[in-house]
Amino acid sequence: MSDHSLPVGRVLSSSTASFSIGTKTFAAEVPRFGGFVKVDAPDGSEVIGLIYDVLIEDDPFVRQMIGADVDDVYIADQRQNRQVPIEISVLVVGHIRDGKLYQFLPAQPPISLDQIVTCSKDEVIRFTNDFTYFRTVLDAKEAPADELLAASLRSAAEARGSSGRDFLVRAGRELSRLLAFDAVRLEGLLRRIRP
Amino acid sequence: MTLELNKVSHQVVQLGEQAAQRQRDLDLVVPQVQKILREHATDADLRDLARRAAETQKWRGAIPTAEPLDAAIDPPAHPDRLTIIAGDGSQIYPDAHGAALYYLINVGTIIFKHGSGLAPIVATEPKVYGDTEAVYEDDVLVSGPLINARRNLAELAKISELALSEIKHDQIVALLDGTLALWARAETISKDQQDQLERDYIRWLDRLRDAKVTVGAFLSRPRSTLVAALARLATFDDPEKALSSVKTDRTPPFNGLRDGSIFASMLKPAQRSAVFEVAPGWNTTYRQAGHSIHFFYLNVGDAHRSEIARVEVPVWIAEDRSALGLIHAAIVEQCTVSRGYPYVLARAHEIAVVTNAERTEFENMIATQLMRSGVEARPSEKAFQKSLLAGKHR
Repeated sequence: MSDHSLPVGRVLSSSTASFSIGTKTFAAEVPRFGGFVKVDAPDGSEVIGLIYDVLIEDDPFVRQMIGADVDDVYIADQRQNRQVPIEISVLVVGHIRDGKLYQFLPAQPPISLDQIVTCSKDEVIRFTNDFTYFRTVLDAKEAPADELLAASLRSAAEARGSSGRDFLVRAGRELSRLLAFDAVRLEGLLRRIRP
Repeated sequence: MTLELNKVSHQVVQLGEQAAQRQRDLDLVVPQVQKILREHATDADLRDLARRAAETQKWRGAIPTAEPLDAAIDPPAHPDRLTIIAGDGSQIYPDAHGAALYYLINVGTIIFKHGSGLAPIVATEPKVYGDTEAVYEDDVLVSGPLINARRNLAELAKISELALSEIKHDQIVALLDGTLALWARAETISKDQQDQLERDYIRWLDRLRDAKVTVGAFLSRPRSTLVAALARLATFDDPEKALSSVKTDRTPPFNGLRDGSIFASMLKPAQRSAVFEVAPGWNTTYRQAGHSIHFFYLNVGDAHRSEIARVEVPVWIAEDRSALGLIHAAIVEQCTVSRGYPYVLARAHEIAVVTNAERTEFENMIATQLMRSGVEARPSEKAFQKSLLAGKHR
């Protein structure tokens, strides 16, 4: 995870609870499932979200090349020159307003073409010091909630370096409380974040 | 009101039946024509007859070269390194009902360095023509054929510039879409303009020849009957009767049989036919300038389905076995990736094409600029009303 924010793409469509991003960027750092991203909202706040889906759209021209033994130049052309449409979906989990972090939905969504960037390591640590956003993720209908929450926790643990293990233990305890009546789901989640 | 499909369904059925019957009729003729080509494969008399017919009777057909008429030639091995340059253009025609009078030509190019592992270099060169001299020709709005001819010239000019620069580093194949000749002989283009366009076009071909650039044009699914016309000449025992028939019989040879149908079962995938020269007529200008257009048919299909394309090259490529093999191998390799059509041409088209959304955005740019300059910019009432209706029926 980078110490700095990296550009991810621009808003294609948005609502209060989620938004989608269009991008050409596809690198090791971005986009990553479960990664924290942020974008400005019109009211001056910063909307925080989790990437829950990365969709590379079907391209009939590319289909012809599947399975063909082609020169590397063709692949380089497709990947570097052609506008490969990548659509990223983001679940909103909180926002920052006047420097304060809130783990509930913002008053306004971002608007089209706003630039989305990844949250820096410090921002991820700061945001995940509070576990209120767990409920937002666990209740999400459009996202693979358990996988997403686990990925975000692994990402937050990684940002913490050597104290990541302790963080995961604390997160596990919180999950045990939230999912006390759903042991099967809890077990699946704990397995996914096991240090 | 829109197209009421129920009212045309009967006609569509008829159309399908007629096409199927016509195909069956033509299929019966194909073996007959192939037999003629085999029997006259190395017939020097037929070659002489074709030349005479072209020179004396304005015959339109394929003049044989030294290769046998029934040749089916495999491509040579593709070189490990080869630079293929392709260009294609698109245009926005002037619209008398639009907010401003202009036209646009956009040429897309790709430099594809096979074997380099590097991403190709792609570029566009858009040019807007808005001044009175460009938009009007003898006080009449510039015609579609003239814009097309200017676009074709721009395509050749652009790929030539790139090829002349790249030839210092690598073997080059420069590829155009369609025909190699410039189509400027239209009624709507003045004689002066025709001559000027052709002079400029031939100048670029001169430069390519001088620099030894392998250049050609790829025509997908040609509908020409040039070889069929040659086969018809061969059916006459008496050359004088053959020449006389050229003059009197203007019906299409073998009931309209296309060359593509003749070669579809003669050529295996990747094989090319013999090289032929296009008989004079529109080729006269190129012949006189030392660029006589030659062509061969090429099966760019696969084991399951033949797909015949025509590749046009100037005489100096046709007579250079190495260059001819290079363009043959390059096209075959390119067509294995994007089936039946060279990848570089498909990409050049994609790069050049102006989408409706881009056109709308561009026209908004023009309207904004005109308003800033104090010029009222709005479409005609007709265009405006049509746009409202188009929106309703979308």
